Amino acid sequence: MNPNSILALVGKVLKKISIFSICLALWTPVLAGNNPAAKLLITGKVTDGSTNEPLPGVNVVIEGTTVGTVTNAEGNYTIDVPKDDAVLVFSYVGYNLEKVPVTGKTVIDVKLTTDPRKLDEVVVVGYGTQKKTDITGAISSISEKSLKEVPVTNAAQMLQGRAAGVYVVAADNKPGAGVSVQIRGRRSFNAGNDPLYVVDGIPLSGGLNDINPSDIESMDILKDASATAIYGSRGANGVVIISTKRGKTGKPSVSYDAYYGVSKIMRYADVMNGQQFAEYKRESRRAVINTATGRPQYDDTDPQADSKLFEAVELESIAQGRSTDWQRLMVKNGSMQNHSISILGGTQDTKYNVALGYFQDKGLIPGQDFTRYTSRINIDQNIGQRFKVGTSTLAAYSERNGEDLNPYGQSSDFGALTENPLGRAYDDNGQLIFLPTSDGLRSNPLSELVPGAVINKRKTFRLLSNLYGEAQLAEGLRFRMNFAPDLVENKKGDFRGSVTNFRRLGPPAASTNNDFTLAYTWENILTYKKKLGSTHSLDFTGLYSLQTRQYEQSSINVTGLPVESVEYYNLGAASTISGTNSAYEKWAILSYMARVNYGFDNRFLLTLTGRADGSSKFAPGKKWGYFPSAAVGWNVSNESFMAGNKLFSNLKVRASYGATGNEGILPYQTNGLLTRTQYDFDGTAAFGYRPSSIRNTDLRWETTTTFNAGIDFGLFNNRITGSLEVYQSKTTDLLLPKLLPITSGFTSIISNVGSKRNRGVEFSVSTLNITSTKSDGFEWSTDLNLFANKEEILELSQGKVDDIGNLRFIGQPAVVYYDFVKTGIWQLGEDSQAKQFGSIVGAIKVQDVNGNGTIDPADRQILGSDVPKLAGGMTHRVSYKGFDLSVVVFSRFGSMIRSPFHGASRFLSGRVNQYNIDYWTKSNPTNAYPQPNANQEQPIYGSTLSYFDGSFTKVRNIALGYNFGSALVGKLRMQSFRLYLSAQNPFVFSPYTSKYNGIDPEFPTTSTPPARTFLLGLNVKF
Amino acid sequence: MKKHLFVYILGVFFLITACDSQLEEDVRSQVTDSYLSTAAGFQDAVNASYASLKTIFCAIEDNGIIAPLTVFGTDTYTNGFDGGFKMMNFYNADLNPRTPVITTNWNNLYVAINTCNAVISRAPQVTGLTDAVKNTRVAEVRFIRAQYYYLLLQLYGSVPLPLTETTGIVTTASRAPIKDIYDAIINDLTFAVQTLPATPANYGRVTKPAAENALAIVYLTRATSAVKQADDYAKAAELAKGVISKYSFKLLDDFGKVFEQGSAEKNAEVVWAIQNNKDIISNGPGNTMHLYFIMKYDDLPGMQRDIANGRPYARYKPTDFVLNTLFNRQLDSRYDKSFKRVYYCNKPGTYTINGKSVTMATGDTAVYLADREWTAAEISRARYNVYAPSKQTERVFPTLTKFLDPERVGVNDQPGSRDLLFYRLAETYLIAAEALLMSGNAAEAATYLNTVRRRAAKVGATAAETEANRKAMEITPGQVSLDFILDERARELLGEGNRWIDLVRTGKLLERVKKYNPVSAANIKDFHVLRPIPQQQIDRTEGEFKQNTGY
Repeated sequence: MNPNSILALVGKVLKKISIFSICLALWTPVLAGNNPAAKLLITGKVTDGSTNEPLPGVNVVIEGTTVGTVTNAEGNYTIDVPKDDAVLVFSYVGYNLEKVPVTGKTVIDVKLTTDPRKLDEVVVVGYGTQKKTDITGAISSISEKSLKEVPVTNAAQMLQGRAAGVYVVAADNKPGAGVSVQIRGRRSFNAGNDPLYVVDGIPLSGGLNDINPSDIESMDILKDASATAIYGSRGANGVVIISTKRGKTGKPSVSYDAYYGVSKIMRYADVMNGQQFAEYKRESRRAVINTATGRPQYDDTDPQADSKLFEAVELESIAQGRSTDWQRLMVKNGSMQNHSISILGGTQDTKYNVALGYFQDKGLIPGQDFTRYTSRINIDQNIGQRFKVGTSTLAAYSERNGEDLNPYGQSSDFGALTENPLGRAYDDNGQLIFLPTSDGLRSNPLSELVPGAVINKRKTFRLLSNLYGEAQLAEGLRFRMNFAPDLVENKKGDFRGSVTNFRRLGPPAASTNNDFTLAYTWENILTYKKKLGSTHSLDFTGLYSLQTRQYEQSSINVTGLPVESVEYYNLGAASTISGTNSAYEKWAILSYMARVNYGFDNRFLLTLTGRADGSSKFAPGKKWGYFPSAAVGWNVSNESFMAGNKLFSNLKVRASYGATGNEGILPYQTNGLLTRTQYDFDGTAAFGYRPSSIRNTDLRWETTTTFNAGIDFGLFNNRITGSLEVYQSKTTDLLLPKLLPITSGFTSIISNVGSKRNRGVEFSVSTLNITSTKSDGFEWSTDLNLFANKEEILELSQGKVDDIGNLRFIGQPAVVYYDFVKTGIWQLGEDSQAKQFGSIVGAIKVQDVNGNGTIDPADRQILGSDVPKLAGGMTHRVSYKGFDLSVVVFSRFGSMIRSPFHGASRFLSGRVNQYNIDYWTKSNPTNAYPQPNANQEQPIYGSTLSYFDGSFTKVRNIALGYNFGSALVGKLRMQSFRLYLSAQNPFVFSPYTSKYNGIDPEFPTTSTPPARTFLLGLNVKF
Repeated sequence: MKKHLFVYILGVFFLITACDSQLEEDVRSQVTDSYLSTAAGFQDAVNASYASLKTIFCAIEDNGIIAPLTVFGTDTYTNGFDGGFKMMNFYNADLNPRTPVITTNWNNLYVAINTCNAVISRAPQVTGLTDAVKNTRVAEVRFIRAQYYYLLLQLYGSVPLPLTETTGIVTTASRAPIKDIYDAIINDLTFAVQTLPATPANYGRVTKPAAENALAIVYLTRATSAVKQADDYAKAAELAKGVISKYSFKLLDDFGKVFEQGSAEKNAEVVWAIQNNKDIISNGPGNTMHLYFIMKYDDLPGMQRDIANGRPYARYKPTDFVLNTLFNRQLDSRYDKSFKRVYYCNKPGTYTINGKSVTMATGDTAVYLADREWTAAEISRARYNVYAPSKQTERVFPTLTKFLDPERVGVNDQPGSRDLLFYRLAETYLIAAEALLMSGNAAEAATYLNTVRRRAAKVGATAAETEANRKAMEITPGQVSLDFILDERARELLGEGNRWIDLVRTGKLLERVKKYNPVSAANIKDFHVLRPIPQQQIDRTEGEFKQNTGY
């Protein structure tokens, strides 16, 4: 689809929508309230000072009275005033208060200006909301505005570079793949480090891939123990609270958001061309001496040497100077598009938001794509004065193709990256050649892309619903019950035709794999709010909840399908069933929680939380965990001595201490389990069972205690706002696979051993660099966040003793790179030294660290870790006359990555292609890479070649938008209309890419290359 | 309102008490270990002990098959072109405590031992089976466990010796004295000999003669160890002779028939075999031995990979000693019957061969591995590629045919369906011969050798000619020596996965490797008679776990 046809489509859709919105508009008089007639009738319209959008729901009150009204959906109001010296007060959340004397006017139009401090006034916390000034924990909030700036597939990607302490990196480059999110580092080795996602109050199991990012109103990230203790059992890794857009009182407003874009490969790997490959293959045989003749296997003095080494097609390619560029034959441009439409509105008693979404990402490798259809219905209904019911319901259907396919080449056996460039992809008739060379393992990677040759499709259906009922039992006392079922069905079909690398001309194979998850959360929440006099405020929350998740799965694999067109739709036709399987899994968590927030005089704040969780996953008698926490806050700026202060418009200090738990292990670990085995006696099957895990009768909660201290500040009338946090968390009873000496028959057991510590600093600041008094003047603002987290293992299964077998070291992060230290390559003339170390000239020279004259395991060193020393993000926003520009940057410094392509199997063996690297030969005495050697699957100490500095700075997104003026917008019967261009990942700066040919430091793999996407988008509101 | 509140709270409490049962785990799709103490579970654990034989002896090399540790790096086999296990032939720095194949074998052996231990430890508590059945099953499993300890002993030397099931977390391990390990092996096998029937309920189960055969090998091995007993050779000889004489086993007339695929695998010469079959689901990893000995034929003119010729892993190449010296090709049929030296065209077309254009049809000779040097004139006459011994390389060498599996479905399928002939009578003759020779009875040793050698003689055009060949194959007691027996084992048992262990047992590894395998000879040292203890084991064991010297 090209941009022109999109515009045409948009036009058509707009027409339809405007008719629809007129229909809805007819209802508004019915819904809007009427005022009785009075002496002086004043009318007017309230709009946003910067966008000129009408503001519905603005409170209009006569000063000094309780008489007032609310603006309707068009921002209009009418009010009777008793006398003409009255003053009208206009107030609206997030905007500055405006006072206008009537002085005889009958029409008063008001433009409200935004208050940067007040915009974030309300923050969603666990089981409720709180005013930002009352918060005592460490919470980062991301507004809808920021969320809109970067178009993403998965809502979690929106967090990248946006919040201090939230470290997000890609987990894969395939369309529809998830991301890895860590909040304040890793605590756990085995129980998972993913934060808990809470959508509209309901903890999710599974990621965010089914949520339409356009539906999200705000994301709040709870980081310290005080904030997360409310989710005690699962809060240790932080909590991301996602609120979707809900209906608001007012005329229905229809929004249509769409974008279409083209993705291009970010960078091709610089692999060898045909001639380079030929020379490299020769060199790999020069390194091998034929024991019978004493001559090298590739003997330069032998005129027949080439014809002995190369096969016919290779010789032909060498003679003709022909080279096949497999990467460029495979990679195509991809595309990304999104369409969301939402209708949002409501009356005093009924509020609704109905949204539909369509998203499609077609990847760079044909056959890899992701399509998602979503619908959302959010309804809130008041029943009388005391009762309220409602729902947030998401239905999502997605199709993902090619998630398990890697024709680009991760494997050393197969793939475009490593394919021999001397082979041919097509014959003279343009037909694919299945085996480009005689290497029987390496079939033509392009044959996987032939339509119908390989099908790998996952269909996911998810229904995530939260139904709630709320009752006001007495003044300030509310009871709420949430029931939230979450149904997920995955149907995966897989077909591998005969002419593919999977089957290599064997009979076709197919499989299906279906799973079904039924999870539900049932919560009973009692809240009580009380103000005692003007100085004391009390807020109590009590909870009882039950969460369960039940998972069922079944699969069947067959080979020998008679006709390829059957794909995986008639497995019964296959000649052989090669495997069948089914599984069942269930866990539950029971919880009791209580929280008290106490505030004194808006100056002193106290939060106490206690939670008890029982998990089915732990051993009998160890199932329950108890997680208390306490936090205090002091709003310094509300002190009387700060009253005349010009510098600080806001100043608050906070501190918290508390415990949270982690139970993210698989169920049934407390049981000793068996594995099925296969045997037969003379053709009669004899299946069996053998022990595969030992029972652990002592398995219990992993607990993290966190101390957090923070300062929130606002300077110069909130031109500069921000916060600074320091924290230390200690995780004990780590759920760790304790590795055992295998002589007991078991390799490991999940147990509670050891402890870990995380310490860190987080700083975030938002500045209004340039502001304008005019609504369309030049404005520039910046958000910056920087964070550093230090991860340290304190104790392991044997106390303060390194566990070298698992590469875990006291005082080091959970993942370190521990290997020999490469110092260069053994050069000519160093034969005897090389021999002393059991090596040869041309091979990798590693450091004899302990100087004992041999290279032994003790010479291995900790080379680095994947934890960055510093990470952060920066967002700039500039606006002028309807134009807006935003730039989002994400950086990390000081982490180490392992590049799989630099250390793959068959690296430098002269068999498969690889990076065009500077390898050693007799005439090229480099110290970079060793001499290729056909007798090695990979060089001795070859892993030392694969470590690189993982620092990078990525410009994540640049978006340039234009808001059309009110004249045009009015003519089109719109409220607003914005067009924008966006470039995703336009620039990457890193030593890995600039110096070492690397492809992407964020996700150093070779399975699917990263893309750079250019989008054209629009946001329309009626 | 207060009344309402009370009702709510009461209601919630009812629900809460109803929910506590949610925290009980309900294991459905997995099976917990208490199952193994039931009658059915006990039988399943026995089956699992058998299944471990496939992991150790038949599974794909990366997964820890024993083949990479016992075939090359010997006098009979050197490395071929492909594969990542060449350090086992090179004896270079890559053969170290971190070498994956060393570690996976160690791991697989101990997982298998714990499976066997589970059967042995739980047997007394199992109800619902007769004592006779239980005893037989325990004896079968003790035989299997003895196999594993024997392998561990030969590969790694002194090793930990757990003889009961692991039921809790064990973080310690220590190397048991070699004497204790021999005692445990001999106890297990003696129990098996005393308990097992000569004919099993199902073909493939361990039998009394199989246990006797095993025990003979163990005595033969202990006789060369530091803990030898004076009567070890005598016992070995007696046991081996018993296996030959007491049962209905007999050598097939034709050496070539021993390794026929299909029902012929169950022949009179097989004392005991590890079972594989064609049903994918019960066969699992199957027997992968068919992969490793095949030369790289599929890139030669006129050839492409097909099921009949096999998937050419080209791992193991016979040494020049085997190809040129070992066999008396005039008399001994085993050279021709062990090797495939000709490939017939399966990719017809026109190729340039020996300097001229040749059009090959399907079935024409495409590749011929000559057993002598050809003259230039002879070569130029040939309408196919000729590889005389001097032209043979790590890619092109005679293919050992014993394990080829043309009955697989796909050309690249790794699991094969062939039984692994673990003990066959010809080897029992050679064990008897070795034990007799070492007991000082060369004359009787010669008779056992001659039985094997007569069978191996080429069949002549007439009965008389055949008999003359057989006569010519016979040797005199004076010719019998340990080296001769090792040569005979090489001829008879070539590639059958025990060469390295035979050489270690006889103390001949270094001598013969240096003499016959120049690739290995370059680096092999005295300490290479043991494999390194995996670094993983050392790192994970609380307290000290000593490495073998030299590594």
